[in-house]
Amino acid sequence: MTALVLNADYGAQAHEEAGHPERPARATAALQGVTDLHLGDDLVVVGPRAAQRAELARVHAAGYLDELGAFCYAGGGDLDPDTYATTDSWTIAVNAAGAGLAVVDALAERGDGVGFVVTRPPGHHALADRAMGFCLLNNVAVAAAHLVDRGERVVIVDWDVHHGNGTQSIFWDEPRVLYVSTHQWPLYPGSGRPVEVGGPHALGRTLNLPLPPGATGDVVRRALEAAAPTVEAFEPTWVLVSAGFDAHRADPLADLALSSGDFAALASLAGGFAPGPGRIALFLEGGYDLAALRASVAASLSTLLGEASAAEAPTSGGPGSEAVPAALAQFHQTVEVLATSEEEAT
Amino acid sequence: MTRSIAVGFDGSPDATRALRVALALARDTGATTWVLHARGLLGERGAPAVPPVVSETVTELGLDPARVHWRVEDGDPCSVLLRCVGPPVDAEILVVGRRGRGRHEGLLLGSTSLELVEHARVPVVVVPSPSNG
Ligand SMILES: [Zn+2]
Repeated sequence: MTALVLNADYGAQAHEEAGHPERPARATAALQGVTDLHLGDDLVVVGPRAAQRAELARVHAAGYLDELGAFCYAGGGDLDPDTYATTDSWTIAVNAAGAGLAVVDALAERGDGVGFVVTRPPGHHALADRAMGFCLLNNVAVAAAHLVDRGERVVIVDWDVHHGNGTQSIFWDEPRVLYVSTHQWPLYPGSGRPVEVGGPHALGRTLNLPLPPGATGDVVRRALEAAAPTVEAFEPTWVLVSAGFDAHRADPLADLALSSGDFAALASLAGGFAPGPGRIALFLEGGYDLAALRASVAASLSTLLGEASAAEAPTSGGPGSEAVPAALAQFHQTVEVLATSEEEAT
Repeated sequence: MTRSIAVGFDGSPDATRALRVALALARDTGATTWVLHARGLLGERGAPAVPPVVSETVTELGLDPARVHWRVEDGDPCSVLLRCVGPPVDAEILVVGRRGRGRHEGLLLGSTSLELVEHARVPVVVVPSPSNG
């Protein structure tokens, strides 16, 4: 199978800050992970494009887009204690969001392949009207909204170690998007409890599966397996993955204990949610240990392409085996209670 | 009667001024004070200890230390303060410094105080920097 990969061509432009872990070398490491697969003709590099304002405005407030652009052009700076922007960040972020659109469009046109978008800055913490958690524009949300606009039903699988609060918030009341997240709890950004199930028009369209520090791959795999009935009932026509690799045991920003082999298994499970070929794309989110990032990208992409992978062995035996059924029970119970109270109200 | 006051604390000079204002307000109203520290993506994990300036100010203003809580929450400063309007803090007044650590002034973007004023559903006290005049 073909991999469609895009790394927006940033030229001499820079989105970086001295000492910050969200750094350009991450994109290089992720691309090395792709190169390691020696895909030859099976590798298609999609031409970059910038996201149009109307495409961004599907998920972001117009005023925020204006302010962020102006902030960058005025020289940038810190947007919160975690998040920086440089003079070039606006252009880079718009190209990163556009990269997702380009890959999704290319997949749709070919009707085949697996997409992998090397998006920097990452996106899943970005809210409709606020930058946070290293994120400026919500890349995966921009792509999902683009697909929804065409009548598609999109499941977003977010296996980044952090909860994608921005994505959840953007699609909170959108019935055509199902957001499924596995993440460490407690951890930044503090959201992502199982009782967060979506708004009144989208009850059960947000499924949060928080996991305790130290959890190993077996638990995260079980979480995605447990999500399968909800995903199948939703009948998605597309799968977008917020593919952060900071749940790897080597990652400096969090405490889950996955190996690259676990990401291969997660990719396989997410791939199983796709209704057919050419309907899955991975978006890079976190992942701050370069070697782990490279190996995990290679492992997940090769699995989706049906190629053998030389990944680390899957992990098991960590804490949290009771977390998944407990979270799922809470999810179903909350949906039921809210649905009943909605009915009573009408 | 005000029962609960929350103050954002990131160790910056403005936050220290805000802390003092919040504690003085608590002393005058008999409210409980919650000193909230937002632990960001780059924040130290584990449980950061109570900064000495907090206990020092409590002592200096003659407050009952049992009525002042130090609380570390995961999230960005704005979301953490907005969230503390709910339980267990149930803040009725939010107090913040005009500028956080290394932040820009005068722009809505990147300003916790302006974002809070925009979004909070309880009164917000913004404590100015000395340079504000
Ligand atoms: Zn992350």
